[in-house]
Amino acid sequence: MIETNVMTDRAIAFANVTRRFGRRNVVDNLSLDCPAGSFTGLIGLNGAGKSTLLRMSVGLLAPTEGSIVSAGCNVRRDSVEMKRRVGYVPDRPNIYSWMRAGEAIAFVRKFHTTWNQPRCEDLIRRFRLPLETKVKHMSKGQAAKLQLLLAVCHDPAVLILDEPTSGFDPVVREEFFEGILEFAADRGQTILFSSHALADVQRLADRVALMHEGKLLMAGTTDEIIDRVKRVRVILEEDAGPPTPSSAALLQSPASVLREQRAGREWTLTIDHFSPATLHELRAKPGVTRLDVLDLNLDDVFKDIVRGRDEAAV
Amino acid sequence: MNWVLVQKDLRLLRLAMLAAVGIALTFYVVVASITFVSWQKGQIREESRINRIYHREIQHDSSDNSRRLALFVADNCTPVSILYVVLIAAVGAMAFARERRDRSAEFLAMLPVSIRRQSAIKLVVSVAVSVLPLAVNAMVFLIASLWFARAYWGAMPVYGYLQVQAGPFGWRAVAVIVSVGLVAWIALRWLGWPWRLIVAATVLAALLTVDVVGVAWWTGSQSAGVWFNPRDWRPAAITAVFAYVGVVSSIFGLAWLLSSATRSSVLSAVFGLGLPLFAMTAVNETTRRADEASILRATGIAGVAVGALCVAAGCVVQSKRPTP
Repeated sequence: MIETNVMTDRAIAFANVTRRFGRRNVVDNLSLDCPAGSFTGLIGLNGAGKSTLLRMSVGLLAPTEGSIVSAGCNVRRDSVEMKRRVGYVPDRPNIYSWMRAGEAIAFVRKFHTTWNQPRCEDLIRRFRLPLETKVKHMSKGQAAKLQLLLAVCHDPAVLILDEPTSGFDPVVREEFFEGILEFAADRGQTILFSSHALADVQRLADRVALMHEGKLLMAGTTDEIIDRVKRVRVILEEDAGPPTPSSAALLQSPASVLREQRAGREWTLTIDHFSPATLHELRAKPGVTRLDVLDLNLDDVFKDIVRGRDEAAV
Repeated sequence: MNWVLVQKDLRLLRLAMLAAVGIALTFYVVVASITFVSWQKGQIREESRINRIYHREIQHDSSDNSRRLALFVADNCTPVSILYVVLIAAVGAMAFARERRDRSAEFLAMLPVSIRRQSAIKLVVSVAVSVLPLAVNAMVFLIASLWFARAYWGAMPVYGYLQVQAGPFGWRAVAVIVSVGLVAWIALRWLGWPWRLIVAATVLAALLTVDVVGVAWWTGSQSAGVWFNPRDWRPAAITAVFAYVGVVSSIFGLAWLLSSATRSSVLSAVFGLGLPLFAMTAVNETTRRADEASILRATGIAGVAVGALCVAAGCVVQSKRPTP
């Protein structure tokens, strides 16, 4: 892991969490904190362990090792109280398919003393939910909106969403995220969500956590990550050989190379904790004729980190 | 909150409840129709041989059709009771597996109510749904039997024979239940509505066929039973109740346990039904020469114990792993 910021006032805290399925560590000794009021995007490839982590955060799976606190409750010990304070939207709707939307709302409402009926009615109207339609007859978008409504109308302190908009059309996705943003803005709730839509993550999340093969590779604020990771394109002299010693050793701490590619005279480095000192250091290397520093978006950062690790492993 | 969960579980078991009513009504209507026609012709049968697994046979010498009618009705409550065994396996099997399969278990697990309470409510509802049709059927049986007994009080039959069928038929039943169930499971994996209903109906029909056709293949030497004096029917009745309660308890319990560990209601029902039937057939086969009444009572007690243990184990498994 590159960095995990230590936060106080944590709404969600994973401490050395491991989850094994058979011999495979799907989540591997992961520690992550989500401060109260933050909007954290969890990103990673398929099979990175995001869903497992989120399911553990709401008690649907027990960690093999480590402990998890959600909304101030130990997930294993205070599971009932935790469920009063946490809302969860899964990757696929899981409401009883034989229920009508209205029945599902009435069903869930009975379990929550803090049910916010005006908010519920407002969301029903805004999401244009057909209350008389059975869940099994709803479109994917309608079912997901119903699931979101059920997750937020008891005013939870924490909202956890597992790839909630995968497969949605852009309009529905926008409406869905508008609902979430409004929810978060109104009440100052903490949100942890996973998504493959990195543009959405960059736009919505103020914090990002990147998982790969069960490990947390990077975590921090979105701006900080985008700010500190740069791509540097180095043009070498005609007869320059391969950079020696290895690129990782080229740079002084705290900078580190996340990925490097060599094509002819062009040597491209993706560097974490990039600073002017890093630039000077690179410029001072023999054979360097030109340096370009490129800003990256979250999508590029993610791809370079993951590909860099895979290439290094090969 | 509890009532909401009760309503939800009742809704999930709606099909089983409808099946219970359907089974009972079908049999009662068939029995009533046959009886009415026979009565009109003055030919009410002296013995009912619709079913051979649990067969009550009372010898008598009356030519009074109204009394025979009572006997006939009482006797035909037995196949209903047998089909209810299948129903009870289905109720146990649907406890958790169905919600796991469609992931609504996840939805339920996110509600602020403990898994223990959810399981307790589910158990109460499942037992109620299982016991209620049995109780209604037993009531019909009791009323018909009392009618028969009262009518015959002056000239009661000489002896009775409470019979539990084992032998080849038992093995055939196990084989058919498991094989037909597995075929149904495979079909359900790939088929959608209404094929599922067709497959379910076929499974039910196959089981019924085994029950009815088995009569033709059966040879009387393969039975185990208890002779009793109808004037002192209580010991035999208690034995019969023991055996039946043991059977249904073990079947319900095992189906419940399997349901907590798998995502397939069909497999849970098939093995919940097949394994106890296999065990009981094996016991009957190996201990036929022993004191049959004692064996039946012991089977009953063991069945209740196994059933209770399985239910408890199922609740523990569910509490450890409430979602798929």
